[in-house]
Amino acid sequence: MTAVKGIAIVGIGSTDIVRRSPRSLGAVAFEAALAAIEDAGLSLDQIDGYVGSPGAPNPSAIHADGLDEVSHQYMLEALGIDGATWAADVSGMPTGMVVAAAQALAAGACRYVLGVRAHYNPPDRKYSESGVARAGGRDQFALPWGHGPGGTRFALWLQRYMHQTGATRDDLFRIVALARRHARGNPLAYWRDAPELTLDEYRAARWVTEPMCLFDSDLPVTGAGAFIMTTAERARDLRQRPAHVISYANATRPRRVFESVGVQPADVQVAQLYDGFSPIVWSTLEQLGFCGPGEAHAFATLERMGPGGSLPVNTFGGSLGEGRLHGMGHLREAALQAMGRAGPRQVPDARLSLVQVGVLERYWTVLLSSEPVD
Amino acid sequence: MSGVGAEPDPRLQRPLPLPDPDTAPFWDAAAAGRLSLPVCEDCGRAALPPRRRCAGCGGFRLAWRDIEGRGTVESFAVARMNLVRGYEAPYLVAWVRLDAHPEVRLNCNLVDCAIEQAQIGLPVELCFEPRAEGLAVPQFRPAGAAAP
Repeated sequence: MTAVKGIAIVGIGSTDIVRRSPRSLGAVAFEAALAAIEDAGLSLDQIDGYVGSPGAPNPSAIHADGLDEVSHQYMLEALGIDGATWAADVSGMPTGMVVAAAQALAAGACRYVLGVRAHYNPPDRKYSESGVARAGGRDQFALPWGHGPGGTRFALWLQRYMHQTGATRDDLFRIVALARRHARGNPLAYWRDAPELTLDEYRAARWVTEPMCLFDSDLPVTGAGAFIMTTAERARDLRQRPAHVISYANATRPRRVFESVGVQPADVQVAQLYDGFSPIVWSTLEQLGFCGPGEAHAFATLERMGPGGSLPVNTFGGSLGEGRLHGMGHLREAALQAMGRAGPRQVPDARLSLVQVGVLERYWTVLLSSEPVD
Repeated sequence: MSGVGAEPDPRLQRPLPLPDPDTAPFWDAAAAGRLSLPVCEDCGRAALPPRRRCAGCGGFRLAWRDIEGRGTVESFAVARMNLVRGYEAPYLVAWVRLDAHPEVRLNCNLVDCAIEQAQIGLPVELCFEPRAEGLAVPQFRPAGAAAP
């Protein structure tokens, strides 16, 4: 069962997104949580469920609860929520948080779930630099060869994709240009006031892991997002128009997100696709069936995916345009689009709003709708 | 370790693996100059990282076997920033698929290989790179390249 009935997102909260912050991540996450509760028209005392995704993804992380990560225990204690009947941390994806919360609510484990994802760019060291002298676990088969930092596996994927399909970096530029164009409509976005990226600027950017340049990686930032979920029935009494969660799927069966509710990719009005590194968007477009294998580089045009296009993608600017909230920006935007609250970015008649977060072989996709499914 | 006046080998600063009970045979073999992988006794499929259950036939009988070290470059990329200790950019990172076990793709560097020489489909052969504490990592170089 990956179709969902009677569960909705009913509140959204965000902090500012800054390059670096003197505040702890705990303070930032706290602010986002309160904003989401306020947005839903609830009080702290009504929150009886919590879902988080604490993992700091940067090679330079120190994994300290409250400083660069926030666990569910930390957040419940910080917020003074002592009556929670369900709380969990799930692996690093906001969409996975939505799936877990939907299951908890459907099971009656709690009434109002607060979800928080916060991301920290350490002010005192390089985000992507690994000082690790010893790599254990799965990393022992990557880091000893310098694989990992700098998005090596996405660069390797891209090189092979270009080799097999004839795609070029000028094609990939359009993913980045799309993000930067959309970011101009998002007051939270890091690049909100920047002019559109030109092909010449993109071609001149310094390499990180060739064939990926600096602009193919999202920008490390500090910021947090939060959401409130409850049942559609309770949502009727709340302040906001709900975004109904109608289906989900993971990377092993990605198209289940459509099949389980009898829709086609072309039925989606707006999609937020994870773009921590630009090539991921091509992979996802193909895996979800928006286009055929090897076609994404031609399919992903500014005309189709930009403002006013037939499939607007990453309408808030994506991580490439907004900053690296590790998919929380994608979830926020998907919910706002389904709620009809995306302001100047609102896609008209956005009945089906898709959000995918994660990479290549590991992600969760969630389909939101402005209308409940009968 | 080094003689008087000799430059320290920067490769000895590179990240070391932390072998564990499941992976120690791989690293013990590498230190001895061999590539060893768990191979399914039923269908012959190899695995890395090590597995307890074969991804091909679902069998549970896997045993460590030495693997012949020829391969083909599946993809490569040029690291242009210094992000990992002991690595000085630019250097080549690659995926190599083993000729004898094409189900296995190894993360590695291309060594003794000019950046312009790297290409998808390039035949490569196994070699070993010394690391601190007597450890070594399998690497690949263009087939037929002279050892340094």
